[in-house]
Amino acid sequence: MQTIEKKMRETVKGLFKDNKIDIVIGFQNGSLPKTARPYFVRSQEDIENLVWNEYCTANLATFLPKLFERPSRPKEGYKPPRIGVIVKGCDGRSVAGLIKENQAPKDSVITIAMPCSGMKSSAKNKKDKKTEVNRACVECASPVHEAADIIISGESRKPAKASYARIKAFEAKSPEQRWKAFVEEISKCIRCNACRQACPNCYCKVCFTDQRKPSWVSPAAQLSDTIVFHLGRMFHQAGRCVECDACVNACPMGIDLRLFTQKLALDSRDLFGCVPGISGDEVPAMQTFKQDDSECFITDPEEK
Amino acid sequence: MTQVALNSTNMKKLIAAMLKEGVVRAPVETEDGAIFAAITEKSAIAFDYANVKLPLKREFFPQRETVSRFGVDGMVEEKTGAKKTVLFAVRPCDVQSILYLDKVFIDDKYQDPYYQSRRDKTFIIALACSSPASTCFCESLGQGPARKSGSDVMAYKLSDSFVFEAVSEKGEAFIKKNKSIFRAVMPKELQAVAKQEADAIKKMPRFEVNIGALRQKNDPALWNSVAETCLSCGACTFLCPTCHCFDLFDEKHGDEGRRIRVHDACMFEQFTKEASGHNPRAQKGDRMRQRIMHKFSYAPENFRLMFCVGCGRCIVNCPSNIDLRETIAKVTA
Amino acid sequence: MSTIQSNPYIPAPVTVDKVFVENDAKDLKTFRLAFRNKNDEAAFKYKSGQFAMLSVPGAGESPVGIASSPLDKGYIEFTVKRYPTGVVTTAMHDLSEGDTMGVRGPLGNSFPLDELKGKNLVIIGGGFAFTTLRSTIRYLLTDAVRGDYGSITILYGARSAGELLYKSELEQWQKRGDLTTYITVDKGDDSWKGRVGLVPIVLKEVAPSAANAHCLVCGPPIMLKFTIPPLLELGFAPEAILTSLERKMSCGIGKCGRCNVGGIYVCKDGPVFAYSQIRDIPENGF
Repeated sequence: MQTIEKKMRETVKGLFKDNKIDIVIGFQNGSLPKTARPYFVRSQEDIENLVWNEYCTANLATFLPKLFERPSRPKEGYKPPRIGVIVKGCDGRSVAGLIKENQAPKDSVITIAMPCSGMKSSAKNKKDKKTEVNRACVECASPVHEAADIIISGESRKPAKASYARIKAFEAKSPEQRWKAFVEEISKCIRCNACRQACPNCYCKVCFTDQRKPSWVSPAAQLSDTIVFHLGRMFHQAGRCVECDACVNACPMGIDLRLFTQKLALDSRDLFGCVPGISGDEVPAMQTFKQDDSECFITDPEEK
Repeated sequence: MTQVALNSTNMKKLIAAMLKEGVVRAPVETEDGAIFAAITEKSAIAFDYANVKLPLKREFFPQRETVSRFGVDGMVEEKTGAKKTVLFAVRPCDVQSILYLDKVFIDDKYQDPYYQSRRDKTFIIALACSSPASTCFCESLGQGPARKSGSDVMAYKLSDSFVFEAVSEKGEAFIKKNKSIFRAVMPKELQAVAKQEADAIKKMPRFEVNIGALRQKNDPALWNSVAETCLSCGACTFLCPTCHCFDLFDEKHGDEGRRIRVHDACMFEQFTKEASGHNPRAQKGDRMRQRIMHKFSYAPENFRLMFCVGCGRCIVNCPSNIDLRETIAKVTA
Repeated sequence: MSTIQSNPYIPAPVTVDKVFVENDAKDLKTFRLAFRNKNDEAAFKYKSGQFAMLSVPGAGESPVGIASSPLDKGYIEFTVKRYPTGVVTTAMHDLSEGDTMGVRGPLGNSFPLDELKGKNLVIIGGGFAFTTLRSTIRYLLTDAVRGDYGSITILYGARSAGELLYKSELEQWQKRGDLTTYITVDKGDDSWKGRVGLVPIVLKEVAPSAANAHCLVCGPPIMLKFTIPPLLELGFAPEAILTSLERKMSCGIGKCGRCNVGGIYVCKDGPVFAYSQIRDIPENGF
């Protein structure tokens, strides 16, 4: 990891030296043991704080939409900032998705792909018991963002076969069992919105749950509102979610959101052939249609 | 005040005594850590936890509650229906937080009847800390792992026994009423209690807050850089024992409905946004400054108290690992 | 039925007696409200400068300055602007005479008129922040009260003639001999025969004396930002400049933590503040 970290720092140094970049978003060591946290590099002096280790869990793409938000009164000759992002496979896919959705201009972003060997994070996250690697990383089918602008070489994790075994096992349960499990899990929610804020795809200026005219959902942690919030947020992710587990890691209550985000990722792949963000050229599943799209949800809703 | 002891093997007797007083809520272990829950005689209470995930404020100031109902006849107050409750094995930091919230919800001019109704019906048995987490810093803020104020009884867990000390008159009455389940405290137990407190204090690193320096730092650029990686979620505020911001919200079905109160967070972007579109705290740095200043400058100004009990929940739960201790150091440097 | 005394969160029921449309754009309305219960009416003793939380059940609550004089009997008045994105203000503007609303209050502090007896008063208002100043002026012009104060100068500006509030009262004030009234608009039009000019500019032209005078000034943050420096130059001490701040509110009673400007709460420590109190607070908005 150490030489990879060095290569990363050299690359960032080069970008600043050649004046190709205004900000680089990466990781620094956290204040808690076994933690790394997002870090903004704005000058060459900051570069020595950049780290690369197995605790670089956060999805850094989440900072991009706000940074590229055009000011309401732009100064004469305003140009968007040039931002570099240190990306794992997952955040790279997120960045590609944001570029696709016009939340980040392609010419203003430089992605620096790291050879990700899987992340370990705080106890909150559900992790693989043997290796302590996050479940999201154990199941990850794209550890390196191959479509990045710069790729740092090094040994990375082997892509897992995306079997979605846990999801399929859940789907095999009866609707009553599934509903019960869903309600039990979602009842832990305190509506702190950490999941939404951590997610790169949740960049709406005013989230549907915060809209008041009309008001769709109240901010209360009462079951009906909580369910609508999560179902709504999940379905807004359909065809866009990269299964990075940023929401899972951010949730202070340890809610197993992955059970639901993965279901949507699975459907996006199997029903619509869409795995978002790999090349950046994929048309988002919910923004197009094909003549042979599955209609079983209309014609045979009971069929599995 | 009166001190008594109880062998750990007799905990059931104490639980039975508490259950006679009302609903008993105590920490129980789950796969996500210890949480407060209603217990029965059969429950296994968790005693060896640093602190429960959620703060105690939720017992008096829930995430949501109905404030009033309205119909064709006007708006009517909703009664909380608060029941007599015993809160058992609460950490001193959480107990302190309630004393702070008392100053907000029950002041000379306006008393919050919802908060007050629960407060009046609650009896608190605190549990002194023996092993604070690395993120705890209560001692530095004038709190302490065995600080008694605010509780009715303070409990200390030793290797195979508990020591209980009455703190309030209600606590005194409880111990007297149930004196048959307790035994006399042994001198070595009192020594162990004192040592436990001293050891716990030693474990916690010092954390200084220079309020004077804090009040001088108004540079928006400094605050924006502190808040650079903040996600503007509400994890820190919702888990903070002394954060109390809320919103009132109407729900309507035809001609009827209710007004509810929900937790809110100054860290949310929409918090101060006005209908005109103007937002006095549009920048993350402004919101971060508000949170820090409220706790460490405005509260001292208004209540002579820093609104922080050093529980460390904000540090443990921030998705971007923005550490309050580092923030304070940066902005008072 | 709970009254406003027993639970500070429960509004007193009021009936909408009359609705006056104040401006050409029809998004400013004055609501004249009457208490349903005599007890509530008796308990609602207020002074100019205070506000109340106006409730439309189902929509929510909104803090609005009281526009009627404390000596007006049988009703209280509020002037409310409807914002397209405002849930409560829109709901209020959809109400008709006879409909029910709720009022919680009076809340906040007031202009310290008792302490200002004997002083000359300069009253400056901009836009629809003029409401509590209108309450103050109506009160001061009451026969029993007028003699307690020295000269009264009013300077009121709106964006255009169509946006001026309380037009009939303005006309009456201009005819009176016991006060000096300057009305101005930012932008003139064919209907307007009066003064044209931004409030801070007109203030410098008119140059009221600061001798034994206090200034009450209310307006949007941008207006305050440019009006206070000329006032200081004219010799008004920061302690003698009184203004009214506005922030979004939920509870109005100092508990929900939303409306603070620095360490002071607009609902509880304000909304009336001396400029000296708020001058050094970074987030004072001007």
